[in-house]
Amino acid sequence: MRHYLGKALWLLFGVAILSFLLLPVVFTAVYSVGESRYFQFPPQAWSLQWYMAFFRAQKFYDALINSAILALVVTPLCLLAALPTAHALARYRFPGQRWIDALVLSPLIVPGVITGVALLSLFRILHQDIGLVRMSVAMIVVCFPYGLRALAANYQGVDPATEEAARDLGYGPLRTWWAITLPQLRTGLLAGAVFVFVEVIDNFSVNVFLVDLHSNTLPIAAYQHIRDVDDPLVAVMSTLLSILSVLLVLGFSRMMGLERMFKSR
Amino acid sequence: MKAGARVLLLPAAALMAIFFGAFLVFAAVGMLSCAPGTPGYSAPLTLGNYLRFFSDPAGLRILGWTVVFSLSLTAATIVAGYPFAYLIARTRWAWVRNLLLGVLLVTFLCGSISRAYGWLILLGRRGLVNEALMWTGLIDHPLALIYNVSGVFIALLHFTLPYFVLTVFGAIRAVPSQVEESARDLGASALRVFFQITVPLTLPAIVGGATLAFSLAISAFAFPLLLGGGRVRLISNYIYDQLFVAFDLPFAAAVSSLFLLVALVILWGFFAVERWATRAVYRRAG
Repeated sequence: MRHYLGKALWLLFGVAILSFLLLPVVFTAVYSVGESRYFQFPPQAWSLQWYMAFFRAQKFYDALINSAILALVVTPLCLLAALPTAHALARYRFPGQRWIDALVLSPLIVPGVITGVALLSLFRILHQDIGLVRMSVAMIVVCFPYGLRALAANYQGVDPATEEAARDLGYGPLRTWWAITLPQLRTGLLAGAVFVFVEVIDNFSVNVFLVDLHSNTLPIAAYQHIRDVDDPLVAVMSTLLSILSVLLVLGFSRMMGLERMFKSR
Repeated sequence: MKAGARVLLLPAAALMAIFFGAFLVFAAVGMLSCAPGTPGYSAPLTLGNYLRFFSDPAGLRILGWTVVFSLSLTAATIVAGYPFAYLIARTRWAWVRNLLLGVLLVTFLCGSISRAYGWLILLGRRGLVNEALMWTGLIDHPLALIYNVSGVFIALLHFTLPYFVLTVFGAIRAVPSQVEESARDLGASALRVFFQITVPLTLPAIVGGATLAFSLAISAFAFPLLLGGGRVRLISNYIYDQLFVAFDLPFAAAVSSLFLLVALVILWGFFAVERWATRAVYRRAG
């Protein structure tokens, strides 16, 4: 009897947390496909008109392009910087290594607003006022730790013996890395790319200080829209982002299994 | 250090130079003062901005309140998140585990503005939560759930939960379930096994996840901005206002420096507890 009571309580708790997690996502999606301008539940009529309005709205279109440029510039550069760093930290022993470890991860724990104000002070002194340039530099610095952590976790699974064998067979260090190490880093690269990409698309607190009048990103455009207008355009944006993340998750679980993905966080 | 390692660390060094260079500039800017009537700032260097914050009770109250708020949010994250992580780790069915992990990951990936907006719809005066409560007859008038602390708290809990659960879940998986089963066989109750075996063994991960939740909570900016409606202000919002309402970059820089100092001291405390917890686990293991 007590056994069943425990089971029922666990079930209830699981369902409660699950609905807590899903509720905002689901109802935003419902709102986006309703016909009404204001939130109704259940919606009286279904329509895709707000999706058409979203893609016709110049400000969201521009923001989408800016966010895409930012993500496509920052993601590869972050991983290119993280690859040699992860290699040095995994394959060399040097004094002060623990400090370097902590140092390179520090952008993760500094509150975004502070990083934003600090970078703004720097760019003012350098007279750099192009929003996209400022945000690209900022995002590379801020997202670098995400790429690095994913790769560092992956390095723990790369057996140095495979590299030594290649060296014994006469491969140089670069060729060994290219032919032996890099292929084994696929999971880390993929996971790192996703985490960097998502952070760049989502970042608000740093970019809001660095943006200029012509380079709004999606989150900033969404914030301004929520502040000024009451219609479901932002619900459309959120739903599109959720669909993108569902696709990413499905892709991941097919490619490497979800549990492995979390090990690289 | 070998020459090879030095070359490999160059890109990281360049990025760190930008990051810490920015902080140096910024601590210095905090000592300048705003040149009246212009967007620039001027010398002489003073500690005036730093002192101004300490003589401003409103600013200090916001900083103190931000810390209290973040600590309570961290506690709520642990209470809701740990049993959920336990459920994911210990469920007998792989599909349940994959479903729960998938939902966590989707929530985690779909962005903070989207989620803040979702809560804005749900918790509003005509939102689903109020409609449901009125329909059941529990309340007569809509509750004020947004533009006050409760809305910001609920939405931020939704934000920190996935980070915490994903950190702790791996640690619970790593505790062999045989350890729990043998304790049960020796007559310990389920609750006793949970609190005397599982929780202590995963304490380092709990503290690690709590550190993450706390650092997310204390940096919260978009959530109070959207769900607080100007009435709930955390320190990040205070700094933003100094910059975009008062146009006072030097003062904003000074407040940010002090805030960073407070945040780092508390985080250092969390790291110290984590180290202590890790040592305690090794001691138990003998």
